[in-house]
Order: sequence, then structure tokens, then C-alpha cells
Amino acid sequence: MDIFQLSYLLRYPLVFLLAFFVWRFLLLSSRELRFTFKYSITPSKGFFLMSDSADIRSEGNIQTLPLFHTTTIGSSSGSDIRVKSRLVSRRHAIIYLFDGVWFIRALTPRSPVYINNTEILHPVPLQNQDRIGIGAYSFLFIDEAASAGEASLTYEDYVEDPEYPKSKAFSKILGGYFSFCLFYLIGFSLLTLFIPSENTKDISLLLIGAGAFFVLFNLYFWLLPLIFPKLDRSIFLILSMLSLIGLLIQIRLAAVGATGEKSIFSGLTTQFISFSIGFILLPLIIFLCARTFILEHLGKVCAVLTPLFLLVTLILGHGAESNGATLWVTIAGFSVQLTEFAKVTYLIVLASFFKNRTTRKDQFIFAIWAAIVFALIMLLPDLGSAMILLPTTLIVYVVMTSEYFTTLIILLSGSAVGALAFTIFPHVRRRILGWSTLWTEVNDNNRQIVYGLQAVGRGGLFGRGLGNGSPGGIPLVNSDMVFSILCEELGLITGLCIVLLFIIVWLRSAKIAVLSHDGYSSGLTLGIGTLLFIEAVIVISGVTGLLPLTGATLPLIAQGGSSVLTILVLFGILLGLSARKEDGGETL
Amino acid sequence: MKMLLRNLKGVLVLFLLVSIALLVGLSFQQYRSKNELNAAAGENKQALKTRYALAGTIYDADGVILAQSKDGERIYADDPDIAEAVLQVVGDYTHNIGNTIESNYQNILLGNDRNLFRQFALDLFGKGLYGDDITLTESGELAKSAYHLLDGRKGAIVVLNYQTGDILASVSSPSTSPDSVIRYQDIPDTALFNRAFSGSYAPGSTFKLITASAYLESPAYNPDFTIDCDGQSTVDAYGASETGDGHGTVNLSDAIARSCNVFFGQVGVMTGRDALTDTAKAFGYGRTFSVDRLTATPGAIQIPDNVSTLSWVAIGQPVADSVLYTSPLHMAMIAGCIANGGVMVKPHIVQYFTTPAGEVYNQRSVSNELTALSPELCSQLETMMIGTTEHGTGTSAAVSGYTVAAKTGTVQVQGQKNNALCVAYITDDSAPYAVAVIVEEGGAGGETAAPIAGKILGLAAKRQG
Repeated sequence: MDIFQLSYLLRYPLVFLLAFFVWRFLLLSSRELRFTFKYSITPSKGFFLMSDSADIRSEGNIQTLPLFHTTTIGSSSGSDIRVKSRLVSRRHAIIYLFDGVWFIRALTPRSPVYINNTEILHPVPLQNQDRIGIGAYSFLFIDEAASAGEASLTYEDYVEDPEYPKSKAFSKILGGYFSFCLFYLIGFSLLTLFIPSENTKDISLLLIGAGAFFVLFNLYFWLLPLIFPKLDRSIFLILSMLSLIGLLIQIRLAAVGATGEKSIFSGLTTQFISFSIGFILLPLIIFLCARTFILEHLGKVCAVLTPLFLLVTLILGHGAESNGATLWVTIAGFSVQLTEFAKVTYLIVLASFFKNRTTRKDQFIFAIWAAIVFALIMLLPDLGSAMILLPTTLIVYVVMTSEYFTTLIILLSGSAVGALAFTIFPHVRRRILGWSTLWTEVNDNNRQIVYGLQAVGRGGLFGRGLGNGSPGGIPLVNSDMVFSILCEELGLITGLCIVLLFIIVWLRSAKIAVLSHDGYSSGLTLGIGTLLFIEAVIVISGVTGLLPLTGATLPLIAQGGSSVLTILVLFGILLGLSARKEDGGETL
Repeated sequence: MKMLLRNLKGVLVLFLLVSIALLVGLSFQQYRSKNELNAAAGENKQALKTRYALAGTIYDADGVILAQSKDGERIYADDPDIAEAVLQVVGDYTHNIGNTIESNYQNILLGNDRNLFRQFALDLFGKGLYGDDITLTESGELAKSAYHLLDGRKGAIVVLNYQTGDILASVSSPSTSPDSVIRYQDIPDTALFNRAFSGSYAPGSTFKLITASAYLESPAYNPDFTIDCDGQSTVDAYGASETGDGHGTVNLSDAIARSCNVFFGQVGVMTGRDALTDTAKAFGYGRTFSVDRLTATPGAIQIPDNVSTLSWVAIGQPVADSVLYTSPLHMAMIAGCIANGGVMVKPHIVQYFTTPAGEVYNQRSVSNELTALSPELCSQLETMMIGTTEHGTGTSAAVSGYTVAAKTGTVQVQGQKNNALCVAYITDDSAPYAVAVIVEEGGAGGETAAPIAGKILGLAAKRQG
């Protein structure tokens, strides 16, 4: 039995392991999210409002009113604390947590809010025993820790967050863990056989690298939750799985058909360096996000950095003209794509703007800032980033602010911009034309999709086995089109699993967003989850001819240094935010 | 917080819908590309070599290997002459020639067409990666002999079994080695063109068989009808005529044996435009024949309302704005149809497939393509056609030990020498073979094409014995 035959038979375990992995986490994530939606509209611990009026409708209709990280007071049914009175506006005031401090501010100019009988004009930090006056009603802000301090007592948490049964979750995670390990073992054993036997150096390099990553993975999987008890292991496993698939397919593309004259890894150096840096930095990022409020303070810096990155790329950028974009910048001998890093900073800015129900003025400022950023993106032009960031922005915006009408307007103007792009950029028009003629003819505009689809079609359900595909002749098979070769070698099931992995990431980010104790974390986790999901959807539907191709690449699977690093950082932030504690800032 | 949850749920629903749409779309695109994107024109040529590295073997009817994959290479018939003779039928893995076994049976050869269970069963034997083998009805040796008989001249030969429809040889000349097709270099003019299936030739006097059938069926038919042929048309000044002093007094039987243009020109006019067209269509003119997954270019007939033109079409020579042409395959099928009592069987090129585990499936079955004529009229025609080989224009098509019925043809083509044609078949049930031979610029059909037809039929009969 030769190596190709072996690989062909091993596709069954590989595909089944992946499907099992995905199934476990899909089950776990959807159940956890349902549970979270049902029970965990988590009130903040140790802080609440006390009301002396009996006719205030609230959760449970009690005298003590719970506070959430963002609590709205008003007469509308969407308000967290509903006050029915002619003197109270539909959306009157908002109390929110930011940087460990509770703030209150009025939501409209016509809804006066009084603190200790003084009307407030700006957001004001709340103190223990502050009397909040809204209409004819008044509330008392209670900080239990402070109250206890005044009474010379120590305050302790007495309510645990409602949580999905840990043992149930852990058994599923363990199933995922073992299928991952087996996948890892089979995958890398196969890869070593693909490398020409003359390349002894490459083989030892691969074995050492695979071993090192496996040790690192286990170390993180078992040790990190000891340090950060709330760390989302599922996200870490999914991150590892996506990285593994990416590395397997990239090494396979380099190894099969190699002549043995030079190292097969020469083309993969940046990929390896990015993965190494990303994985080594992971604990640091988790620590910074979980234990400090450093992210909250990065808002202004990032607001400057994002356009700066784009501007530098615009001025110094170089790259293949044929793709219609020049996104590479050489810094200290390394070619990097600053536009990828701009995604991280953009999300941070987005979250810090919409951490609570932003005032119209702030929304307007954001709109101007975003307009500048998008103008720069379109000047590059980096259509892929625009196609990903625009929907992400919109979703974070609508979830955090509930401004449905404005969202609709943005959506419409976004479509107008899209139509404009069609007329302005010739390569956009070419891509759309190529897409529309997909099934009738093969031309320069759709060749890569047609060839990619032929590969996908050839793979069938289970694929041909790692190394048995035919990547020859597909343009950009390492980066843009990697999904099609993945489908050819590991089958349609793997393709579907990749889609599911990204929706699982979103489900988990939604869960973290709900459980977060401040609006900033909610916004950021939601932004990251949404960005990853949308990027995957746009890329996958692009390479399979469901939508016009945009030039974005599949996160973690496609070749790329900057993009891999960016995605790893995003996952690091996501993991860090999942591990955040309510009193996170104080334990430092 | 309430609003946040509500919004999140909204986005959740939206994203779930997007995911489901993507999953469904992905599966659909996969299914669709599997079935629709194998068009030869738009193929990823670079990937084809990898894909054919483990493809199945193509065997001829005698078990000779016509194409196989060995050590990652696709190799064609060992005998270079056989490889050239079957080139346009077998094709090449780069699909530089379309409408071939290699291109149209790609799914079978690569093993992409199996259902999950079959595939899984093969996987258990460790054979799943290999494609299925295909056994053809074509004989490499016979094709080689036919190819040699054409001797580098442009032309085509089709030999088929008229009882089963099996094509024993389908040769198109000039041809070239598969190697140069794959490299796409040093290819003689039109060598990639399958004349046998896709050539469009005026049938010439072989069309008189159809005119005769139409006449036999028409109310104008008179068994005692004769014509005094002096070489000049009896229709009008511009009707079908011939060179020389004519054949003297001829009846239908003589006219077929000696291929008398004047007689058939007159008979065509007597039968009428519509009846002639209908009979031609009954014999399959205008019909696209599929040879398993391969297709043959359909023939065409169109006669304007003009008596002299009609008389020319009736002898198989389209003039002015009339249209009359068909493929060599169809000509052989017409001969076979007469031989088979008026029933034309579906042509076949593929006998069966074999899985890597040795299981044979999709055995070809005999079925009727169409019925053109009654058996009685066929036997009448046959008797006249036998006259051709016994004392007519096609005596050189005779095969010793067998009775051969034939009809020769010579077609004038503007600006070049005449095309030589001959259709013939062995009447004996022990060797039910029909042949069509076309030699472009070969001169008189009786001198160039008929000897080839006779030799090929003899070889086919010998192969059988």
C-alpha cells in the first residue's frame, strides 16, 4: 500500500473525527447559549437600586432593582426598569458600568435626571447611597461593599452566576479534546510521509515543530483554566482545530510534488513564525484582557492607529497589481499587511464607542471617523476588508444601540456604496461579471472559481484523502482558494464543518457577550465573533461561486503571516474577555 | 440589557439562517459542479495529469490496452499504430480532443461516479482510489488495419456489427500520436478531428439506396420501369447527368449495380421532393445519434422546389442551394439498417465497465434506434446491392466466402478531386458487419473505396472466425 492509498483510507477517520468534534461543540454551544439566554440576564453582584415606589415594574417586581452592565430606565417596554409615568420619557436614563465604575446619564435632552436633587448634564459616576431622581420617582444606588465598609463589615459574594452545569460541559469538551489530539496525530503522521525522504532535515523539523505545538497546546489546555477559571476552553479548542487544519493543508501543498532539492518549508516561513508568535503571545493577551482594563484605555490610541495603518499602506503599499490591491508594507525586512492589524484596532474603537447607549453626538463622531477609515480602505482598495468590516460594524451597532432606523439607512447607503464600487473599480466589475458567467463559460474572470469548484466537485463527501487532490492550475490555491482544495482532499463534510466551526465561535462569543459585566466587553466579543463569522462566510461563498469573490482569505487556514497573527490576537482577546471577572480590575 | 438580549437573538436568527443558506448552497454547488463543470473547454489542464494518475484502463474488444495509468503517467497503446488509429475515439487525458472516451467517460475512469456504498466497499479492498476500467467494442487491430488502408489519405472508415450496433473500428485519417496531442505540438492538419463521427460528407451515389427505398415505397413505383440512358438528363437540361455515353437501357436493379445517375435523377423526380425527404429522415437524416456517451454530428437534407436540383439530390450530389450531408458513421448505419431488415440498432462503442475489484457492470444492451423500411423492401434492395459486387461498380468490395452487398459513390467537391465512397455489408448472419469508407480526393468510389471496404470486411469476418 502506497502513501496515497493510505492517505485515502485515513480520510475516513479524519473526517469522522472532525465531524465528531464539530458536533460536540455545536451541541454544547447551542445548549449553553440557550441556557444563558434563559437564566443569565446576569445582574451585577453587589450593586443595585432601591426604590421606594411600589408601582414600578421591573424584573420580579420587587423593591430591590437589579443592575445590569447596561441598565436603561424609561417607560417603554424595552427598558430594563420600567417606570410608567407621564413625566418619564420612553427612554429616559441609562446606568452603565465602565472601567469598574458605575455611571449614569440622561438618554435625551428632554429627560432630566437628578442626583441628590441636582440635575446632571454629563455622565456622572455613582456613589453609594446616591439618590437618583427620575420624574416623580427616586431610587437609591446601593454599593454593598461600600455599605459594608461603612458598617465595618466585609462584603462577600453570596450569589454565583447561574452557569451551565460544568460536568456536562466538560464531558463534551473532553470529547472534543480527544478527537482533536487524534486528528493531530493522524494528520501530522501522514504529512511526514509526504515529505520526500531525501529531505531528512525537513522531516525532523516537522516532527520537532509538531511535537512542540502539541506540548504547547496541552500546556495551555490544562494549565490556563487553572489560572483563569472562566476561560472558554471550547474557543481555545476550536482555535487549535482551525490552526491545525490550516497547517496541515499548507504543509501538504508545499510537500506533495516537492523535488527534494530545497527545503519544502521555505515558502511557509512567515506562516510558521506567525503561528509561533501568536501562540506564545496567547497567554499574555489573555492575561491583559482578563485581568486588566488595558483594552478600555486603548480606544483613543486605536482610533488614531486604524487610519494611520491604512494611510501608511496607502503611501508605502506594494503588491501584486493584478489583484487590484497593494496591501503589503515592508517594515524592517518583513512584508506585513497593516490592513489586517487595522481590523483589531477598528474593533476596539467600535466597542469603545458603543459600549453603552451612545449619545447622538458620539454616534455622529463615530460616523465621521468610520467614514474616513472606509474612504481609506476604498482608496487602497481593500474590498475584502470593507466587505467584512461594514456588516460587522452594522451588527455591533444595532445590537448595542437598538437604533433600527439608522441601521436601515446605513444598510441602504452601504448598498449604494457597493453599486458605486461596481462602477468605479474595474476589478470589482470583472469579478462580478466572472461570477455571473460561472456556469456558462470559463474566462479570465472566473477561472479560479471554476477550477476550484471542479476540485470541490471531485472531492465528493469524504474527499480524496490528504495529498490526493489536484491543486495544480488553480490560481492562488495557497491563500484565496485553499477552501476548494480542502474540500477536494477532505470532502464536502469538512467544508461544512469549517462553516459550522465559525458559527460555533459566534455562538460562544454571543454567550460571552451576554455574560459580560460591562458593555465594552459585550461589544468587543460580539465584534470579534461577528468579524470571524462574516469573514468565513464571505470567503467560503466567494470561492464556491455563491457570491462574487472579494479577495479576503479564510481565517487561520489560508496562507498569510499578518492575517494569521491578527486572527490569533482576536482569538486571544476573545479568550481573555471570556475569562474576565467582574472584579477583574481589583485583583491585579 | 433586555434590548441587548433581544437584538442578540435577532442576530442569532439571522446568522443561523445565513449558516443554513451557506451549508445548503455549498452542498448544492458541490453537487452541481460534480455534474456540470466537466466540460472539456473549461478544464483545469494542469490538474488533469494528477487526476488521471490513477484513472482506469481502457481495453479494446480483444483485451488490448488502449490507455492506462502507470506510475503516475497516462500511457496509451503500446503499438504506436493502434494508438494513432484509435486516437480520435480514445482521446487524451488533456482533453485536447473532445467527444472521446477519455473526456466523456472521465467520471467513470476517475471513479467519481460511484455511490457511497460502492465506494466504501471498494475502500475496504483498498482499491477505492482507482478508477473503473472501460472495455470498448472497438478492435485495435482492425482499426490499425483500416488506418493502414487509408494510407495517410484524408478519410474515415467505420465498421460495425449491424445486429448489435457494436462499432468494431472507427478510424479517422490523418491521425497522430497521443504524445503530440498531449504536448499539443506537431499535429498534422485536422488530425484531432474525428471524421468518422463528426465529418459531414455528401453521400454521393450511396444515397441512391435511400432514393431507391423512397421509390419502392412510392405510388409511382413500377417494377418494369426502364430508362434509355445516353448520359444526358431526362428531367431537364440541367438535371442529373453523367460523363460518358451512358448505360443503355437500365432498370432499377441495373441502375443500382452500375450507379446510373440518369435513372435515379428521373426516379427521384417521379418519387417527389417530400417523399424523398421523408425517407431520408426515416433513415436518420437530421437525427443526432449518440454512441453511448459520445455523439455523432447529425446529417441534413434540404431540397428546394426545383426539379433539376431534386434530380441531383436524388443521386446524392447536392447542388445549388440544396443541402445533403452526413457522417461516415451514419452511412455505415444506413447500410447496416438495410442489412438488418430495415431496423437500425443503436450504435455502441463501450461494452462494459469494470470496477477495480473486478466487478463488471453496465453491460451494453442491444436496442433499436429506428425502423426505416419493411424487411421485404430491404431484401429487394439487398439483391440489387449484391449486383454491385457481382457485376457492378463495386466488384472489388467482394469478400471470398461471403456474399457482400455494396453501393459505391463518387462525390464532386468544388475545387478538389472527387471523394471516393463505399458502403458495404456482409449478408451472412455469421459475420454481420457493415462498413462505410470515405477517402477524400480518392477519385472513383469503385476504384478507391470499394477495395478498402472489401478488405476491411474480410478482416472483420476473419477476426470473427
